[in-house]
Amino acid sequence: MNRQCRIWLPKLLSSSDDSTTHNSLLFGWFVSHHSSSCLDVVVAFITDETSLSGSSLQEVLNETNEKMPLSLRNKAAFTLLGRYDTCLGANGNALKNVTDEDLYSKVESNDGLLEDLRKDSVSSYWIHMVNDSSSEHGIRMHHIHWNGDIVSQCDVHVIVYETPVFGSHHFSLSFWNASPQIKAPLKKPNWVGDLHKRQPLIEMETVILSMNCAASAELTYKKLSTYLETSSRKFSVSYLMSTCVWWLLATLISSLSSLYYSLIKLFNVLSSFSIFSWVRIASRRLLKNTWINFRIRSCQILYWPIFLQENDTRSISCVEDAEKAARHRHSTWSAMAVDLVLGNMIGLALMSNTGDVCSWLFHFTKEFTNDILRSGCVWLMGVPAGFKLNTELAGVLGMVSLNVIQIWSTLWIFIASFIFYLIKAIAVMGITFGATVSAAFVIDVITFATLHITALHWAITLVYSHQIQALAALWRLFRGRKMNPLRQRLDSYGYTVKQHVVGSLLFTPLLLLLPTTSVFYIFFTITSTTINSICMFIEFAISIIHATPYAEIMIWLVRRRRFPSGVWFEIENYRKNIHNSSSDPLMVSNLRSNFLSIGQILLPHYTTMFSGISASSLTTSARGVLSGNRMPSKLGLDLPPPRPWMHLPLRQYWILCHGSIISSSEKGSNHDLSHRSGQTS
Amino acid sequence: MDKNLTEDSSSPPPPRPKWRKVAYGGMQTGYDDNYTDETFLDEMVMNANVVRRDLLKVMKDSISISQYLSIVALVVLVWFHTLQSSLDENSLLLLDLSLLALGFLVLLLTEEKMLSLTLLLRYLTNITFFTTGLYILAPVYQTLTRSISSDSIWAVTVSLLMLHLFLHDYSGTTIRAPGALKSPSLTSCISVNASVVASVFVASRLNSRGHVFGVMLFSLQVFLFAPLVSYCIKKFSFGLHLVFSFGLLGLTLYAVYVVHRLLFVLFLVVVVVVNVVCPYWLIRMQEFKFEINGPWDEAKLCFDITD
Repeated sequence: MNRQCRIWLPKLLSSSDDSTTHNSLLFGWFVSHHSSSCLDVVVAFITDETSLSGSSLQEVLNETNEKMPLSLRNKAAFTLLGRYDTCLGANGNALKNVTDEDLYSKVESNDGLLEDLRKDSVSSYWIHMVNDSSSEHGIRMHHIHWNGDIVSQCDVHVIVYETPVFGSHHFSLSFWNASPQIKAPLKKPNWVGDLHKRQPLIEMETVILSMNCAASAELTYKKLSTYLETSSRKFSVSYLMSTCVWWLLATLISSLSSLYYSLIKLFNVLSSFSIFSWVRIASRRLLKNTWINFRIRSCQILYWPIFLQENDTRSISCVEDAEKAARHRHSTWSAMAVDLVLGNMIGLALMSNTGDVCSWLFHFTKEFTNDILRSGCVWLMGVPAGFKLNTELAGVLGMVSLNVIQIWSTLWIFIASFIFYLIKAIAVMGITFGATVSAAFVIDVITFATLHITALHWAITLVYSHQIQALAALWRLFRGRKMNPLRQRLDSYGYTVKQHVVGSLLFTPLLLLLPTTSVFYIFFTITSTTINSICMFIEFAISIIHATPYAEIMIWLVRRRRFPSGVWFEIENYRKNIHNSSSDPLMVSNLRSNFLSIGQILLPHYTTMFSGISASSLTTSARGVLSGNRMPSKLGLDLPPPRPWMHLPLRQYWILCHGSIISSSEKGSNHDLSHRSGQTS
Repeated sequence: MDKNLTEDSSSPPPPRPKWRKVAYGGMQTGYDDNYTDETFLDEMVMNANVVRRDLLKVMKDSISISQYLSIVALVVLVWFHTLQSSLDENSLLLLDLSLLALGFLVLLLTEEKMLSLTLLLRYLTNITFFTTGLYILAPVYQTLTRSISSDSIWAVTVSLLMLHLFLHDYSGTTIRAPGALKSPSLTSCISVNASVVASVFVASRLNSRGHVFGVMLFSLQVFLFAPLVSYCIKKFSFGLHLVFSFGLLGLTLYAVYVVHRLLFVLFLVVVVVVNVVCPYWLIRMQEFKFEINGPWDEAKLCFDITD
């Protein structure tokens, strides 16, 4: 079988037509596959004939290889690939229709050095490419040393790629944002896992990884071999101005952040006093949601400079990993910024319209209490929807509910004068701490205000569920069966006659009073569920605000190319045995990338949010309503986990904020510089 | 085999060994797995469990059924009279107390084991609890079915009584005297339940609390303890049992006749059918009974071994 070889060339190499470089060296990676007749050659860059040779070259290669990520080092080593010759005719121009004899004469004449290099090279492959104008792209492979054989006849596929640069683009095979879902409802047998662990036949992942590391490999090699320093910054006026502006901005933001941090520290110190401990405990029980969101917010305030200052992207060689790290760095502060903006909008709107909101709230509560609750109870005590209820029992239940509602509304008349200040407090909280904290506070206030409905619902659920359970037990008694809770099944059991008599005496009233109880139960369940669903909706909105990746969306809007999700080959030409019988089939194609849509970016974040809920839990809770179980009052969505609290002194915190902003601005400007320099060279 | 038929060669098949009826040893050559020999039906037993009956005995035994039918009819009559307000509370309560006393007397006279004081005390406490419970539950029962129409109530009551009569244990009694061996079966318990629920439904139609209490007490007394009393009488002396049954039957016929002629005719017909026609039919059908038992039957486990 013919051997197959894929050569991945960077675009700059294939499009260069000035022949100043001849007899150059190719550096990159050989990626071999499990089937021995297939080889991938990834060319990272090309240099002139180097002054290094032998062991010093090997040292530089080893040092460069050390900087590559571990997964790449395990599969392929960075090495000298081969040589690239430009054929010059006698008049110095590139020849057309070069013949092989000319080539061989050229080859033999000037490369004792290159042959030494080839013999010294550690890998078992060596490639020899020539610049040949007879082919469309000017590149042709001459021969390849393959594990000791010299092979000139093999199927070659040349793929041209644009070198990935941080901030511009890179390549990726899979939908990289998908985190492995941890749901294993069914236990799979072991051999299924073994199927998935099979080695893929083609090591595309290694090839893509090596392409992503090509730019940093070139940089490292050039730095090590020629001892060039990185280009010194050009001192220009615009650069000085931007540095000044950044410094001012950093000072402003870090002062603001330190103010918040000192507030939080003061709060912590105050609440740790024993005098205020009961206040703390009481508020923690009552304002549960607010506490959780406040804790998340305070962790975000503490940790955003730490995240921003994280890895030095210069030390990450793979562009894909660098992009991921950058996204992670910007996640916290962008979320906090959006939240504060939203909070300010809502808070200012509330501040200016407090009177209107107050009066609307009064009107709404009065309407709710009178038109829905009170008249509902009276309606139930009569003949609701044509059901003929037991008058005494309905009367008792109705009077109890009406009394509770009356007591609660009397209590709230006293609190009514404070509503105005409560709304102002919500607005201030929104402005200072963001929309999520104030929304959580609103949830807690609603829960506290509807406590009477919750209590009534709890009481009627108790009665209803016990009635249903007693009826079920008595029905089992009539069938002569008994519930075995250990085995979860019904066993036959001989009851005594006395138990039968008492059971049948009790069964009749329980059965005939069930419609009355269930009517009240349904009414209170509907009311309570409506209120709970409003709270759940607000909780859902809070989770959405926390879970959306704002930094990624901003980057996606500006530059879509930074979100690849797959590669495809655009075929330029395919030549097979056209002119000479000695020419090999050659296919040239360009490497293109697919990009993610906005839905694919957002979806994994939102699915992790919903990981706590499943469809079966919903059906269980719906079925539980019929038998008198309580419906859940929270959705149970995932919020970002609170991180451990560190006690930094205020001055250190200020320095941390300032330093992280300055360093991130530097990274940004550096990458701009390198990006620009990469484009022009 | 075909070869043997077509050819005229004279080699007979080798003689196979005699078939033995054993439970072990595997396949016996020359015989099928399901081979049976001519002694197969020798151990057959016919009509082993059939009870030989004669007409007079069956008729005498069916008196118990008609006695119980007449008791149930009397209860229904009392319900009817209470619903019509012909019986007032005090006479109801008197009826209850007199029945209770009468029943106790009969039990004391016919059972020897009843004479111990502790047993009497235990019975007394049970009855006190029972009565107190009924008195407490009476107001609940009074308003229980106000919202249901009368027709549904009568329909449910009649069907429950039918169920009760079908499932009733006519040979023994559901509530046993202390020291009885077997516990009551499930069907007899269900019949007791049905009768109790039927009496609750009827009682909920009444107007005052006292009426409800009286009717409930009466129905429960009769349904729970009347089988026990008649069982004790039957055990004591069969002649007394016959006298008692005929007396009850006569009383019931007279009471039904007073109320409604058609129902009287119906009741009479039912009694005649149960006492005369059904025994004759049973004896006629006995001739056709043909049971076969043999060693091929499944083994039945025998639990109560009395050695």
